[in-house]
Order: sequence, then structure tokens, then C-alpha cells
Amino acid sequence: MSNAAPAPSDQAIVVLSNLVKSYQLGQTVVPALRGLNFRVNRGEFTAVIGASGSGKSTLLNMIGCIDEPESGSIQIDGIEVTKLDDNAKSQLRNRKIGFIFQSFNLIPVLSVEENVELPLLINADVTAAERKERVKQAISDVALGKFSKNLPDQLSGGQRQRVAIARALAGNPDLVLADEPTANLDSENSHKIIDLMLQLNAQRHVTFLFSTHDERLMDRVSKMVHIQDGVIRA
Amino acid sequence: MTTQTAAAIKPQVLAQGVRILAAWTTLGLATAGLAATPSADTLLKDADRARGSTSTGIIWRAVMDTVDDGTKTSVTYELKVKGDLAVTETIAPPENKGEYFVSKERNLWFIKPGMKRAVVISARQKLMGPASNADIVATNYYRDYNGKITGEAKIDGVDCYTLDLTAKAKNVTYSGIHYWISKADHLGLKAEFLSLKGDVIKTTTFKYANKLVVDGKTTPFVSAMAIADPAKPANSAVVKIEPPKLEAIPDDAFDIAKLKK
Amino acid sequence: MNSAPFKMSLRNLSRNKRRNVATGFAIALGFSSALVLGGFMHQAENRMRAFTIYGSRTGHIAIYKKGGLVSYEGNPKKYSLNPLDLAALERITAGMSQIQMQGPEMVGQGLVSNGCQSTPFFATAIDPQLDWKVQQHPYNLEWNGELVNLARGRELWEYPDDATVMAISSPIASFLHKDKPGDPPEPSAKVAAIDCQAADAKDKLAADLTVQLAANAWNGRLSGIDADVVANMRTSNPLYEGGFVRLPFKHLQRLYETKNATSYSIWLKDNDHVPETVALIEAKTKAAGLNLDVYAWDDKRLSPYFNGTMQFCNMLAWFTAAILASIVILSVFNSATMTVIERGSEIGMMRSLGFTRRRVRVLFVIEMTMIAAISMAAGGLIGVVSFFFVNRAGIALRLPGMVEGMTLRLAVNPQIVLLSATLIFVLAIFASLLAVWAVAKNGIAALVSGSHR
Repeated sequence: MSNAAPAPSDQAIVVLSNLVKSYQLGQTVVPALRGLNFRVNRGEFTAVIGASGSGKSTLLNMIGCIDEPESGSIQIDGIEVTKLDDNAKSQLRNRKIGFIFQSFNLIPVLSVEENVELPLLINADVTAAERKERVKQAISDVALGKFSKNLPDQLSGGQRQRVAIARALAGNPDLVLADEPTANLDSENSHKIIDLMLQLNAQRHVTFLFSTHDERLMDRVSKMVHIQDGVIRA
Repeated sequence: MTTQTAAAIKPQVLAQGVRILAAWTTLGLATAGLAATPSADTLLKDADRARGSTSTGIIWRAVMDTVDDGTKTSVTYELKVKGDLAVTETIAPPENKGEYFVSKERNLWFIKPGMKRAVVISARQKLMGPASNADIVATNYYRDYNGKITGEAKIDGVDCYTLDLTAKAKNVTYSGIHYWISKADHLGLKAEFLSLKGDVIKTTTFKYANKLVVDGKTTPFVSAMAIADPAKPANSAVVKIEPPKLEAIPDDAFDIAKLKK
Repeated sequence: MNSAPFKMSLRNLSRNKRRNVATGFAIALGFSSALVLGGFMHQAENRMRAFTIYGSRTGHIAIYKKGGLVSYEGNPKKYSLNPLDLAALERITAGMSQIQMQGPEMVGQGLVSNGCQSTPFFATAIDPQLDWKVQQHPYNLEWNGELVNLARGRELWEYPDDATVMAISSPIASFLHKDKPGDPPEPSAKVAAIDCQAADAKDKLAADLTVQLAANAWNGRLSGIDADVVANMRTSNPLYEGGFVRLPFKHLQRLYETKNATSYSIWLKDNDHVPETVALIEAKTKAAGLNLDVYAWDDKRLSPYFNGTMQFCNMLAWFTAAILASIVILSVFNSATMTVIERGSEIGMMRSLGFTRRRVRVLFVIEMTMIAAISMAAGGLIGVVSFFFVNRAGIALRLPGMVEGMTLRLAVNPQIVLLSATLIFVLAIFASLLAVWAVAKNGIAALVSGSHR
């Protein structure tokens, strides 16, 4: 299979329209998104770039259905998610979206393969055999086969983030969201993680959308989106 | 000698004589008054005598008719008394024949056929109706109580001394008694028996139609007692006492061991 | 979901070990305390029940003349069961398969004398052979076995039913110098006269077993009988200890010159069918035109001592149980709350993976329930060990109104074990739900970022 990024399709997987979101910080109301419009097509590898407080995380949270806008529309794979109840959103996240967090967020008492298996446990459509196979594949994809029985505190930062990536991909999502995935990693590991994500994007055709303020990564992505003061800048 | 004449002296002597006479007269009258009121002890002794307390032997029969919560009973007793000893034998009805009450001073025993020994009982224990065991043995208030004359009253038109009696010892039947004793012949006409708190628990009236001749002297003797319980006015006990007779009663007539045989 | 939540919850127990151990210790202590308390209550109730039904000869069911329970003492002739009543009761109860044994009883008062001194007595009387069956009943032996009434001598049931024997309480025995009981003398034996004032009077009184009882017979006359002291006994009740005597039923009837009985007692084969049997007997006696009162053994009017004591003990037990429950719930809630707050970002992560609020709550509930289960196992072990040592220690126990203390003996009460375990589980679930409920409803983004705190 070619490592070159596939041609993104014109089919949108994420469509945001007039999204508005504010936060209460003490007595102050801070607008995070101000009528944001955004679109991500299938197969894209997109970085959302912006300064701290620009709304990057809020944007990803909205797309990931882990936060709710005050107004506006969010469509994930054609589904208007603002109209879904909490359980429906949970199912959407489980089937269609994978998450990679800045702090890895692995469960310390579970091994690598158990952490990777976690999203599959609540997917009734996946049999035990399939679950096992997918976990194995995901761990292999992130080159951690030798560490499948290890606990997170036995791994390095980069290895932990690989586990998080494997977990995000185990469910065969359509979209992977990564909020500052390299923030807690050194340069070398940062590059490795981005390379890994690129590789997976090419191999699995999974849409990647990640936020970063690290300009060293800019030249490795095919598409960049600037966000500033809660709106996308051209 | 002064120049006072005999005529002047005479009135003085006369006045002195009147004073002396007045003094003697007053003393005499006072002495006469003291002799008219007997002591409480005397009253009690005289009253006891008329109710059977005597140093010689006396025998008499008594029939006690009781009403006890609607049940009527009649029992005939024969009492033998000599000093501080007394024995009361049940004569009738047949089912109770052979039962004995024996008293020595303040102690009281009961025995009936079939019992190996007499049982020590309380004089105050209920016998039948309002009557207690004490009502069928001889009375000795002089021995058992300290008397105090408290005043005078009439009982059925008869002038009486009123006395308050308090028990001399713990094992005396009653804690206290209000007693009416006739002034004229020192007969106990009425008694109210008191609890420790001073409540009247029983009232008894006495009649003395019987006579007893002792050492040639005829004295009245109790002939009837009417016993009532103020808490249960429907209950009653009436004791009719037949004329007593003097008899020399041997001491072993009061021996419990001999009685049960 | 499969066994994964249980595996995960079990693994999570190793996080915050000290807190989990402390919480577990609180639960274990609470559970073992509940077991010990339940064990105490179980033995107290059974002892009291056995004492009331068998020890006191009350029976499971006691039948009196109408109004007799209250008025018998003032007018025994009117308020006692006459021979016709007794015969009718035997007819009525014949064929009732739930009845094990039954018979008339009598109580009364009077004076007991050794010929020199008298003292008041309170007497109970029952047929000695019936009494033997009642006292030897397995339930009575199990719970009252150590309350041995007999201090010296032999039981009345070892003598013929019509024997003129009696047992007297130890204080009376001392007072009357009848503290060396033995077999009755031959009827033909001569009765020696005793001089009460003599120096050897006490020895002579002690050598002579016969005493006299005097009382007002029911015909109003003074009556008296002899009785031979064949036993000294303890009553275990301070109200009666000073003047208690027991006689064969027929002999006490002789004293009161009657063929009547104070009451009629019925013992059933088990403790479980009393109310319906009472109702049945009530209906039958009414249909037969008998004017009787039928009481269950635990009727307040019949057994005020049992009811009063158990009410007091139950109140104490429930109060203690409430305190224990509060400690458990607060410990679990505190632990669960701290755990949930600390693992807020983990909750957010799981929610982002697709775990619903319900699934997240279940995970924490399973975790706390596991702590509860393990702690209860430990608590159960502590309870068993406590039972062992307490029962071996022979601690004297004096319940209210008892003269001779029993030995504290804890007994496993399966109902209490089940109730305590269920309660602790429910409390653990409730407390952990309470702790996680609100947090699970927090925004996922806030949980992940840690800004939910």
C-alpha cells in the first residue's frame, strides 16, 4: 500500500455551521467559538493550529460530542449530533470517533492490550474473537506488540501515546480526534507520533483531525486550519 | 404585848382561819377530782377482763356468722383462756372440727387434723369476712398497747372515755387502736383498728349481756361482737358469745403437741 | 458487558490502598459488630422465649377464666377454672396435632412455717410429670440449660404425683433452716417436738424436712397442710426469689381446698403456629359456651416482663444498628467521593470512548461493592472469632430482673447475618451511587480537563 496520503474525498465527514460556545470563568463570560463554520472531508489529515485560548480544544470537543454548543449545527457523517441524547452520542463516539488526549489518559491498572480493548467492550456488534483480533492489529499498527502485557507505568511517554492511538483506532472509527497529542512529548517522539498518525491515515483511510500549537509539525501535514478568536481564519 | 385589844386581834384570826379552810377545801376538792378519772392502764385492764383476759381459767363458746363477698358461713368455737395462754377449738361445722388456734402471749399458731406441726400465723391475718385471727382469741390490750385518754364521747348514748392505743412491740396485732371505754363500768364498747398509716381498717362494737362471777363478784362479760370492714361494707362478721364459766384449766390444755393428737 | 468491569473494578482496588483498607476496615468492623449484636439479641430473645414458655411454665398458650389474669388474686374462687372448664378444654384440644403437651396450673400465696417461724410464700404448682416434659424440652435445654433451678435435693418429678413434697427457694430454706433437703420421711415416722428456744433448735429444724403451709382456703377458712422439703431451688427472678415455692398441682389444691386451677397451659410442637392456634382455641371455647380468655405466650398482658425487656433490647439494638449503618454509609460515601473526584479525567476518558453515564456509575458501584464484599468476608471472620472467644470466656450476664446471671453466649442468627449483609451491600451501592451520580453527569470535556473539581 502506498504511504502517500490518499486523495481526500469530497464527502464531508464533519460539517460545523455557525457554532457558538462560551465559558463562564468566574464572573467573566469567555467566548470560545463565535459562529464558527468548518468542514472536514473523509480521509483528510488536518491540523488545527492556533494560539492558546484560540478555541482549538473547544472545536475538537464539539466535533467529538464531548461538549455542547450554545447554538449552531454539528454534523458527523451526516448526522445532526446536537439533536441526539446522551446515550446516542455515546454510541456515536464509540462507533465513529476515536480520541487521543494530551495526557494519554490510560487506565493504570489495565495492560496495554486491555486499555486498547476498552472501547470494544461496550460495542455489542463486536464478538470476543473479533475484539481480540482488532486489539492485536491495533497494537501491531503502533509497533507495541512486545509490550502488550505491560502496564502503562512500565512504558515511556511516547509508548503510552502509541497505546492511546491504538485504543482510538481499535474501534475502526471514521474520525480520530487528537487534542495536542504531542504536547507532553519531546521533539523526537512528537515527530514519531505524527508520522505514525500519518501512516495510519494512509493505511486505514481514517480521517485525522488534531490540534497543536507546535509549529515544528506544520510541515508534516497536508492541511492546516488556523483558528483565532473562535473562528477559522483563511 | 401591844396595846391591841382582843377585839382587834379576833378579825385577823378569823381571816386567817378562813384562808386555811379555803386552802384545805380546795385541796380536798382537787383530790376528789383526781380520783374520779381512772388511768388509761386501769381502763384497759378492766376492759380486757370483760373480754376474757383473766388469770384464772375461763371457757366459753362463740358462734361467728360471716358474710364474705356474698358467701355466708357459720363457725362455732370453744375458747379456753388462762392468763397469757389461750386455745380456740373449732367445734362446727364438721369439716372444720379439730382445727385449733393457740396463742401464747403475742404468738399465734394454727393446726388442723393431718398437720404434723402447728404453723405460726399472724393474728392480723384474715380469718373470714372482716374478722381476723385476733378476733377469736383472748384480748390483752393492757399487755400489748400503751393507752392515752384523749377525751370523752358517747356510744349509743353511753358516756365513754376515748383512748388512743399504740403498739408496744412490732409483733402486736395492730399498729394502733381508737378505743371507746364506758365511763361507768369500764367496758370497751367500740374499737377502730388502724394501719401503719393510721387508716381505719376494721371497726368492732361490743355488747356485754353475759355475766362472770369471780371470787363472788359478778362482772359483765362480752356477749356479742360486730365486726365491719369500711372498705367492704357488704361484708360482716357477728360473734355471739355464750355465757362463760370459770374452770381450772391445766397447762397442757394449751400444749400444741398434745392438741394435734 | 462481560466480566471486564469486574476485572477492572478488582484491579482498581489496588489503587489508593490505604483509603480502601480504611473503608474496608470500617465496613468489616460494622459488619462484625452487627453480627455480634445480632448474636447477642438472638440469644437474648431465645433465652427469654424459652424462659417464658418453658422455664416459667407459661406454655405457648395460657387459658384463664374470663378476667382471671387480672382478678384471680383478689377472688380465686370466682376467677379460676373449675373441673367442668378443665374437662371441656381437654375435649376441645383433643386431636389438635400441633399440641405437644398441656395441663392445669395453680398459683397462690400463704405462710410457710417450720413450727418456730413463718414467712410468706408465693407458690406455683403443676403436675410434676408434665413439668418434667416441659423442663426437658430440647428448646428449653438449649437456651436455658444453664439456668438450673435445682440448687440442692431432687426435682419434684422424681416423686409420685400425689406426694406431699415441695421445693423452696434458697432464701426461704435458709430462713427456715431447711437447706439440707432430702427424701421425705416415712409417713409413720414420729414427729419430734422442737423447742424453738433451745440451743440445738437450728440443728433439729434442719434435720426435719417437714414444713407447714397455711393459707386462706377458697371457702374463706384458714387451711393448712404439711409438705416435705425435697429441694432448694433458684428462681432467677429477684421478684420471687425471697419467697418462692413449688408444689405438685394436687398438693396445692389441697391447701386451698379446691378442685379448680388458676390457668391451663398448652405447649405446641414448635414456636411458629401460635397465633392461629390461639384463634382456633378461642373459637372452639366460644362455640362450647366457655367463658375463658385465651392468651398467646407473648401477649403483653400475660408476659409483660418478656415484652418490656425485648422492647428495650430491640430499641437498643436498632439504635446501635443505626449508628453502625451511619458509620458504614459515611465511610463508603467519603471513600467513593474521593475516588470519583480523583478519577474524574478517567471518567471523562471513558465517556469519550462511548461509556454511557450508567456504565460509568456501574463500574464505580461494582468497585465499592467489591470492597464491601471483601470487607464483609473479613468482618464475618472477625465475627466468628469474636463469637468463639466470647463464648469461651464464660462472661456472666445479668439481664434485667434476673438474679442468677446467665453466661453470655452469642448465637449466630442467620436472619441477622442476611439482613446485615444485605443492608451493607445496599448502603455501599447507595453511597457509591450518591458519590458518582453527579460527577457522571458532568460535561465530558470538563472531566477530561479536570476542570470539573
